[in-house]
Amino acid sequence: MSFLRSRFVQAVVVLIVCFVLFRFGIQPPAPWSVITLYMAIILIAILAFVSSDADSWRSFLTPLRDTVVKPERRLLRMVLMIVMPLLLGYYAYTQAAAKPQAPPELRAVHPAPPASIQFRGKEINIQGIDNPLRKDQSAFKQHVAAGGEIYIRNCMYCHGDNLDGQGHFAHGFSPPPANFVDPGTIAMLQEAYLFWRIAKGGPGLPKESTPWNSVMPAWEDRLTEDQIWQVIMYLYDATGQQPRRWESH
Amino acid sequence: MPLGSSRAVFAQAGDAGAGKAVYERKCALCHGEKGDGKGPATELLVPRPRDFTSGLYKIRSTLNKTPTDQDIFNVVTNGMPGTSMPDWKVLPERDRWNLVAYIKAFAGDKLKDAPKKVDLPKEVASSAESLKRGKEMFEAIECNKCHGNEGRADGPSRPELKDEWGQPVAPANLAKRWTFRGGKDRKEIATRLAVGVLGTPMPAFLEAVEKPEDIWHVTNYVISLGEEPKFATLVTVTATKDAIPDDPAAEFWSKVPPSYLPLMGQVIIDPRNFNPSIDLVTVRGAWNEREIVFQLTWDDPTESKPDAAKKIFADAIALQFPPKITPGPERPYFLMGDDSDAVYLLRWEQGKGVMEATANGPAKIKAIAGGEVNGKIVYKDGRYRLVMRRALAATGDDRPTFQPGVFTPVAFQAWDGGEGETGVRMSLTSWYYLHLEEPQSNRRFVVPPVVALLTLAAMVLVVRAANRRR
Repeated sequence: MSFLRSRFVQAVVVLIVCFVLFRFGIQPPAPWSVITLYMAIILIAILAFVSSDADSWRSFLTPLRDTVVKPERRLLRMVLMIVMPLLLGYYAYTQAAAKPQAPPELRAVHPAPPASIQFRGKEINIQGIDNPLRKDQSAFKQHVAAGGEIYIRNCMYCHGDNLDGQGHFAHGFSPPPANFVDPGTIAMLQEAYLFWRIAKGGPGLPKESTPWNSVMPAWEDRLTEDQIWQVIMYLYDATGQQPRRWESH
Repeated sequence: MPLGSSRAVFAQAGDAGAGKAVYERKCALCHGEKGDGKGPATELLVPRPRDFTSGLYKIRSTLNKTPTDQDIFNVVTNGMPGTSMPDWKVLPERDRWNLVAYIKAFAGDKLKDAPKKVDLPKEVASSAESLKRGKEMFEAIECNKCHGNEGRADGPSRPELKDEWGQPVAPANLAKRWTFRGGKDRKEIATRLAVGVLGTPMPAFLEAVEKPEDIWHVTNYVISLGEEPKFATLVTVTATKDAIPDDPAAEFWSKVPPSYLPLMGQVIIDPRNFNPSIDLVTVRGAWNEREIVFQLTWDDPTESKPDAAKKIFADAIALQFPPKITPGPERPYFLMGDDSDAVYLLRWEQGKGVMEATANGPAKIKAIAGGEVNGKIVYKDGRYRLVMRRALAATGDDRPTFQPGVFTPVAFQAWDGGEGETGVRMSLTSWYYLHLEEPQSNRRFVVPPVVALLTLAAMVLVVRAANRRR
């Protein structure tokens, strides 16, 4: 394994290992722009390392220089002179012939909630309040059962029987319905935040969250205050998630 | 039980007692605590959730009424496409087998006969010959009576079809095999054909076909009726120098790449449409220096003759755009705008033809006077094909000008009047982007050779310089 002692081979091996790690080791797959950025950083780090002293730098350059000048490497040289232009030409073709892609929709997924909202003419605080139905522990099961019925009659079509955002209509809408099983949704939000989102729906979003795109209805037109708190209890119970608590208690 | 032993591929005896707990948590909201299909969601669902006490199973691989345990397990595992039954792969396999045992118990004596598994004839691969024979058989055994000549669920018997419980039931649209209840695979389709679908008017055809292998010829023919679409994220409008034909059936349109868009029910404003009739629209677009032309294709089993007394309304379809194309992300509310922001509609309605309109929400649609849009519609074999054309440039504040290279928001709405859809009872999309492709430039043929030559020249220079220095 003497060739492994060559600085050049080592550098190439490190590059390849890093690429394979970034490409296949990150789940879900990282976008190409991110991988390109990471690879550029790795390349700079490798160059800095191999050029840190003169011997190392020479050892790194030797195979490159040999390929360029040594008569016995003539064949390799010819092959490279054919392959490299073709590869770069092909890359240029894929770039020039690329079909346009829809521009990305940038939006704030969890915008800051308001301090309070108007719910059917009544002011309801959002900041700092907890689910009022949780006070009476004996009624817990009853509320969850009622919430389940509300869910299946109203929410299932988008958010799915499994609460995973894969309902009947899910694949037709952008942005897609929230996946409640995902730890990045209800598990990191307070119940009052959910109350706001359910009551006011898509049209009640601030501008940075593109209210014109969201198909989430404003449920204050259809559900009572208690019904919204019940369906919130069902969401947490059915997914096994815990609501986030307010910090200043 | 050791870990991993539940991964067996053969049927397992489930534990009905353990299945009960899973059932009550995951199934009862639709199928009811008692398994009678009367959960709180039942009235909203089409088709309705199965009543397990009836002992009737749609999807089975048996000649008698009793399905195999594996049949029930497969439905639980894969769900039923085109219905509200999702796949339950999230449940551990053991739970699913326990559910099978628990669900079967609801039927009591009705499933006491042992299942008699069907032996399908030897599989026949698809070929031109097989498709020809399949089409002959398709007509000979009268598939077209319910499913229509092209399989688009528009057969003459359609209005009379009822299920075991007297509920109207629609024939399957054979051109959309990804919505088949028992799955889209060849073997599944052949099995449904051979043994039928219990509880529905779909009979068993194993004995009805001339030769047993005809089951496979018909299967091949059914598969040939429609390709599963890959849904678009961008609606591309092709650039052309030629005149764009008015005829929706013109050869021209078959060369324009299609964008497939899924449509969903409108469930925000009453009356909500949980079971929309039109679930897919295929959009083709072309533009030249003067005008932009859209060809829309969608399946609709009836060319409705509006009759308010029978709750039959005009079929319709609309493209929606913002009235002004602005560079920022802001646009009107996707559901036909609101009081403060209007949308522009390019709309076709049966009996009224093509028109331009402005809407401030679905209840406030107003035709634009002096519209400059025209079009042509063709209805045949359960499918509408529509061409709508308009000048690229527009005057006035309520009509957008289409510009090549600019990403323009677009949304779609459709109404199947024959299924009672009118007003806010519709199917729709949220916003997509429309993109007028810029005329094909030669760049993609010029740039790559230049890049390749430059690379070669640079390499030659490096080699020369290095050798000279030596």
